[in-house]
Amino acid sequence: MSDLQSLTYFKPELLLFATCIIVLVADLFIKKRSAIILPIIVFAGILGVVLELTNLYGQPEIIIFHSMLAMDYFSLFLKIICAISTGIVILLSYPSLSRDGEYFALLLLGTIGMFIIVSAIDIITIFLGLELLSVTSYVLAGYTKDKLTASESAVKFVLYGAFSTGFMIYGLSFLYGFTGKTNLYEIHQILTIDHYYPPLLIAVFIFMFMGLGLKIAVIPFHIWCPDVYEGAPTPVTAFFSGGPLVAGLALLIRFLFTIWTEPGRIAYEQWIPIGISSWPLLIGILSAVGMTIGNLAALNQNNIKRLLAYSTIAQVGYILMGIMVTTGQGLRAVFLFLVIYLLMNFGVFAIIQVFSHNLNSEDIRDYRGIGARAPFLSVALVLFLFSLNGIPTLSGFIGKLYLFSSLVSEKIYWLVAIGLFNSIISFYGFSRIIKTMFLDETTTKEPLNIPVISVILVLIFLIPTIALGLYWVPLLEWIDKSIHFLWFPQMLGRGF
Amino acid sequence: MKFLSLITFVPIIGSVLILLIPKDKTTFIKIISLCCTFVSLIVSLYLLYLFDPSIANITRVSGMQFVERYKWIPIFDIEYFLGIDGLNLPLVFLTMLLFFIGVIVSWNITRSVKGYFILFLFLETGITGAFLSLNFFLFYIFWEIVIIPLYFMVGYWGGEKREYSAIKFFLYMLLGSAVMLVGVLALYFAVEPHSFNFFVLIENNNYSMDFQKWIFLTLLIAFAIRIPLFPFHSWLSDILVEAPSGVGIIISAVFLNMGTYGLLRICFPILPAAAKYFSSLLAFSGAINITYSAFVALAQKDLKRLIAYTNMCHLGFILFGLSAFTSAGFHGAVMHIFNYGIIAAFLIISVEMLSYRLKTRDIDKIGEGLSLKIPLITVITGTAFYGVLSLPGLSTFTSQVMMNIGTFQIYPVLTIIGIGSLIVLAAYFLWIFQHMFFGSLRNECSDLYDITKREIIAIIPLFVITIALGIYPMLFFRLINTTITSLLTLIH
Repeated sequence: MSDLQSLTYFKPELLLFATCIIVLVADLFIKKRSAIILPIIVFAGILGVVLELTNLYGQPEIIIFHSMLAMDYFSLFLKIICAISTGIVILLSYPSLSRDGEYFALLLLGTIGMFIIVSAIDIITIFLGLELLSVTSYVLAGYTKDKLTASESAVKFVLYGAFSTGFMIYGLSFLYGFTGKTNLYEIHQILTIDHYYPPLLIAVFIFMFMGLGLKIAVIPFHIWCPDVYEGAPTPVTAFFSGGPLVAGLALLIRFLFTIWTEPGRIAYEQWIPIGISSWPLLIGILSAVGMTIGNLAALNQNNIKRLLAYSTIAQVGYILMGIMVTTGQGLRAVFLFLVIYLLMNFGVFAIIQVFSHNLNSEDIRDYRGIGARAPFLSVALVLFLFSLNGIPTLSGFIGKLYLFSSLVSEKIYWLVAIGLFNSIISFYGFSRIIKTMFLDETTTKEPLNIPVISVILVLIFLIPTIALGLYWVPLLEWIDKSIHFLWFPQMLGRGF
Repeated sequence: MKFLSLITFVPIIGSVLILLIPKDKTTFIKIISLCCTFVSLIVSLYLLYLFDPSIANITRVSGMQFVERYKWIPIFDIEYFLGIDGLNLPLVFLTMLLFFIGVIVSWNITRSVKGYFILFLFLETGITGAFLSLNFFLFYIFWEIVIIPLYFMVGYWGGEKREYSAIKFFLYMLLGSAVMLVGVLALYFAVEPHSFNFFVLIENNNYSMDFQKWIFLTLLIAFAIRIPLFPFHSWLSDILVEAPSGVGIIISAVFLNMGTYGLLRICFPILPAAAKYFSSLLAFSGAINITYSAFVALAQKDLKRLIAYTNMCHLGFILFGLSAFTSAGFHGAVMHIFNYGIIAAFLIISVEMLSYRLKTRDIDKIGEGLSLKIPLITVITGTAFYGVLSLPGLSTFTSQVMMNIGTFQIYPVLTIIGIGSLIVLAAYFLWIFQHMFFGSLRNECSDLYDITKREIIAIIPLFVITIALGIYPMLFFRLINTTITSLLTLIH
């Protein structure tokens, strides 16, 4: 198919781009004092994108742009998640950051980058999407120019990011060198012709992991995470812990499951690792290390955003457990956990945004006695933290249950033990917050000023967090449809 | 009529009602809590009356009564499955009764009354649900969810070191839950088709011996943390000291019994071969519990800490009684779960009455000669203390003797050691009793008042049950007999 025909399948991204242009132009014309018009435009654009994406579930899966991008259900599911995540960030940005058109343009361009990442099946598009997302992230991290910590975090982010992306593209170039092809499926085909895997593939794996590991904050590529989370404005921090994390994980999954596995006996249920046959063990070790160090480091934090950064690092450790098993069950668990994690995460960010705004502080020690001053938000925060910890009847428990089940059914008990032990450590960290909020005394007693939109946002996140803990089957059905990336034999017939 | 769901969920409906009441209407809140727990108590009494002891069979669904079963998540065989038989009937009744008494005892809470009773009723739902559920997933949810209200209640309304004891408690319990989750999932994947249903797991008993042993140990550790078995016991003394009295009753009489109930409902029926294999391990653990806690109790000056170790001692006896797998031992142990639960509640209320009046829990500072001023409280405390010693005429005598007869057949030496430790503990209790209540009265105790009406209402049911079951234990025995016998036949 020609490029023009491909464009017809590229509608969501084009719509995002159009919204970006519109918001930049509209920024020139509206009065600067209005904080509401621009978010409405952008939100409408995102809504249109989500609707368009849900429509695409009826259409067959194809690859476009001369096999650079794959529009399969896997990428569709992830695009919906990334778009919704950006939409939520837009809601969170009101009214603190919502006066500048450039801010929204950056967010939307980052979202386009995410869309490209999750559907990329070629080395070049991987790099393109990743760089688009990264550069916009760097700028967003340092967006509040008058805060020193923001600029510092942005510079750290740029340095680490550029460095790791350099390593990644270097490793990917080896793949091109071995096989002469840039498409992931063609690379896989050539590598498996005579099952000769050059030892340098280990270097490829490590370099690729350096690049992706930064995006998903895997130890030891996590060093940017606490600083950037602390320095960036809260909506931007929420953005980083949502969409880009999901996109990075999706890319990791697609990369690993396309090049580094053979399909097993049952389609979409089993994959057999190839290349370095023990790379799942490596991922398992990284998962264990991530969970433990993330939870232990979170115990000592006083800044709530740094604590959430370490908590994110720990949650990524849990997610890697599901990738390690290379089964369909594991992937289902990963996706389920991702959706639930996003809900809880954004809920927490919505609440701490209100608290930080009222208390003018992000220090947990200033949360003393806030349970009496803002009871609904405090109880909601407790519920979200319990859910992150995996307490039953909340959805976080279901996510963790699926991840642990996928490990138990493959008899990898050591990682299950580490994971369960970590939930105890993480609870101790969260209990400090809970204790400060509810059990500590304070002198100021007047209630907090809570905007209505925050309450609505928190409810939007709280209700699914509780409801999914009791009945999650609809979500599971949606995910079942989405564990479906195009396989190579099918590629040969489809507009290749 | 869905009785079991009624008694499980009426408390949490009460919680939601209290949520809507403004927090300064404290009397109204207390009355609503009282009504909810009273309704549950009446329904459970009705269940006691309707219960048919003859059809019990622990391995089949048909052995359960008042069964409620709804499909929840069919793909994983997760059901909302409640049922009652001779095993959980006394525990459910104990729970209902003690929560009702707990509300009466908590009547003079002044700080954040609304929050307290919301959490208290939520706790009742959690514990009742855990005793009634017959599906592992549902059981796990209830099992884990009870720690949350306990954490908050101790952490907010407790004594001086409340935050420390609350977080210690929570972390220990979370460890137990984590270990249990591994066991649950392993059992789930071990049956084809995968299921969380207890009865499917019981029927499918062709697990390999190795697998049985590992899973038994895993689940044993999970339950051992809650029983509590040495060495997982250090949370108990701290939390009983710091807990407010209503919560203290629930912890020592109901919460601790969740551990032994778990063993009886899950470990023994599903993994009977492993249970027989580990019989001596269980006996030793029980005996260590008895001896260790009896001797540590001797060193205690704080009355509530003494009660904590006494609880641990008697729970050690229960485990010891179960471990011999003889008819007498088993029946005695299950009866002792209920009987000692009543006595434990009795103990806590008595100590609370004393410490509230004398503003101290220290044995040296309380006393002497209190019987001259507060004779009724003397009688009450005396009954409680004698219940601990298993005096004939009180309910614990029957169960204690049966347990000892049962274990003497298999583990005579350990039985003798156990009884010896109990005698030592008995001596200490008698000494305390004499020290506190007899002798000459000190001057500063001249304004003591005897038992109030509210305290009488709280004590009467416990007193009546203790004496009634002491004189005619068959009342209780006939309820549990068939269930326990069927469990025992399964194991052999």
